[in-house]
Amino acid sequence: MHEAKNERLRKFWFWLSISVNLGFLGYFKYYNFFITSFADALSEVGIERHFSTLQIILPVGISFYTFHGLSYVIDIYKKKIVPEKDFVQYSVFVSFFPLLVAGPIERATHLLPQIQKKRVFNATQAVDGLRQIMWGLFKKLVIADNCAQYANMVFNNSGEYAGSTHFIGMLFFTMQIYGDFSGYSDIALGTARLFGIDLLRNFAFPFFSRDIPEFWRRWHISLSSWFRDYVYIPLGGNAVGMWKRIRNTFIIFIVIGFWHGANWTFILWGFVNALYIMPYLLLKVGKHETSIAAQGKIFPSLKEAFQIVTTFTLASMSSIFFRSKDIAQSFHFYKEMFSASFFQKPEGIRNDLVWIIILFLIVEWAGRENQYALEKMGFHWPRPLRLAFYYVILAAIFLFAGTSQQFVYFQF
Amino acid sequence: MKQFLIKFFAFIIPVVVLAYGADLVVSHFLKKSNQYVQGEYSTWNALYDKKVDSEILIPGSSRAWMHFDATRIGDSLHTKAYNLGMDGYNFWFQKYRLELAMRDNPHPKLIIMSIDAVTLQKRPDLFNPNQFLPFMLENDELEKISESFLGYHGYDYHIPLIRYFGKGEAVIEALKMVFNDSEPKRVRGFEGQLKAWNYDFERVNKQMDSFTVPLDPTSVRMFEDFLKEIKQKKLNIIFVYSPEYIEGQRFVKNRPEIMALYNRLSAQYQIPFFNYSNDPISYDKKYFFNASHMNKLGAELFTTKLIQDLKTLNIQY
Repeated sequence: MHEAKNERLRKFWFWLSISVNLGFLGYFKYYNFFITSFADALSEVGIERHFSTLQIILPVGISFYTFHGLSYVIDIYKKKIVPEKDFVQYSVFVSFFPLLVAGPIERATHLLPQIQKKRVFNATQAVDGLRQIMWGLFKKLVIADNCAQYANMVFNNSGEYAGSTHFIGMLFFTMQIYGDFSGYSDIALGTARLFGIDLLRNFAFPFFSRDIPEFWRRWHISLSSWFRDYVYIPLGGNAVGMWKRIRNTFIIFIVIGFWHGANWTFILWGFVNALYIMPYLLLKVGKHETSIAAQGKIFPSLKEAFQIVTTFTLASMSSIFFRSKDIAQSFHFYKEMFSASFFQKPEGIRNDLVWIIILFLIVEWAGRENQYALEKMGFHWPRPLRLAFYYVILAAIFLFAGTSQQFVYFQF
Repeated sequence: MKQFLIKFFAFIIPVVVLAYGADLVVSHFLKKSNQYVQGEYSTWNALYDKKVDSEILIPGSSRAWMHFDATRIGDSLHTKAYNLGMDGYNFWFQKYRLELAMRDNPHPKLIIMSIDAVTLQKRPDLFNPNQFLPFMLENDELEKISESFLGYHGYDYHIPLIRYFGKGEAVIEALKMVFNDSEPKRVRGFEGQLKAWNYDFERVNKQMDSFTVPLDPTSVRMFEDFLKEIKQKKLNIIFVYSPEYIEGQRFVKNRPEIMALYNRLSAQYQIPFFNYSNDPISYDKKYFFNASHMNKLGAELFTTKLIQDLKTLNIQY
């Protein structure tokens, strides 16, 4: 493509490369979905057809490295980079182990130059990496794995519990998925930093967002920015009329949903999030582009606190689609949640877990102006106090780790 | 790099060095808890500290723990009795507890084997696994007996503190014991349950009409070997099937087969078998809190009847 003699040939190689990449993804991840959906659609009009489905195991992290590879191809096509001719360096870019199974989805323009240059061990960077790994482990083992137990209990036995328990189960699932995925990202970023490589930031304290557009700028950043740069902007971005922007927003969010899995629940999850965005798009509000909630202050204003709680609740509400195995289960969950028992005392909540979550959110809030919560925390404290703080976190990881759960995003 | 590694190990080494001491301290205080893990620590403490000191030993499951008032049995027969009942466990661990008790007294006057429908079943995992925590370090016997159950790994028995991973609740309980002593739940291994009928049986019954208890051939063989050994040692042993709510008895589909096995073993090894399955207690729900467990009212009435029956054995204590 880079050496194509004319534009037509360049385009040919580009689309061939895109097709091959997406072809693998489509074959492994989406073939069964399309074939069963097609069969269902035929069945609806009275035509009964049986199509054989693939009985194969989905390669771990296929969505991540497909998009990782696509960014390389697109950036070459856009002439942002030149193709890497050193096979070893290209292989490291494609299969750099910390991000192989669950991202962040790297850009060739960001990662390749770091691989190409000579790296020297940097102790400060390595210590920072270990600190981020420790915080990632806390998020995964303590927050995510413990919240998962409660969320699984409610989602797997919906109907046996009160509406209030469903509500708490929904909140715990949101905490689980944040702890799980941002924890993984912290471990990946910290590990990469030990090797002198800075990966793209994936989470920027999304639970402290004041509106849904801000939430999406802070949640799974490497994916949302990928779609922004490679899909939304080529579709016209913000430079088109309102109707096209609405169309483009729905396209982006539905595709983001579909990227997560071949299931209508993910598509609906994306659709609901696109709906959430609409008021901000139509009314042209939601201007929290880069600012941080209560920047430079300890507490948020009452207005900010209300906005943060509302945004978190809306994000949690949509996560029901994300967690459910099918759409029927999602709607059943909503029905059970908004039943008369919504005001009953929720069942089965562990007090220690509630306290751990509260302390976790306090630490996250205190560190929200940094790359990750612990990045600069305690730098001005006496050294013994700072060390004691780290030992307390290690002890908390050791003692309060929940029952081991697979990383949620490994399935994608 | 060198400086980084020095700092890294300087941070980690204190944790490793202090782990053994921390293990001893946590385990020491955790053992003192009488409320945690259903009060199992009091029985384990008595066994490991050789304080069972009894002529009558009562091994069994939770049905033993909740049904046999060992203090009354001992007092009535002018001796001492100890209830070794262990919640959630079948013969594998029941035998281990009995062996530990018999180390202190190799020739008890009577072994009251509390049997039930699940005695010869074997569960795959360790039930209530935190009950083993303070006793595990370098405990090869416990490691061996539990190796066929899911729950702990070999390293949990040999690396200090590692078995407390994810067990913050247990460590908090140990910390509480630094400042408090808890009241014993079990007295000589027995604890009557002040509970009314809890409708668990009705809930289960809605989901299934009956249940078949899978007998574990290894457990059956082990049980029979145990009986032979007891008989060779000329020790007195009896089988007691304490009252079980009649609907619960009917719920176990292969109960006749299990009872036939016990009757055969009783006849073959000349072991008296006190079967209370058809006792009037078994027909009255007020004596139970669920289908297989009597409440305190039922346990006291049953113990009274058992004492009368034990007197007929004419054993000199």
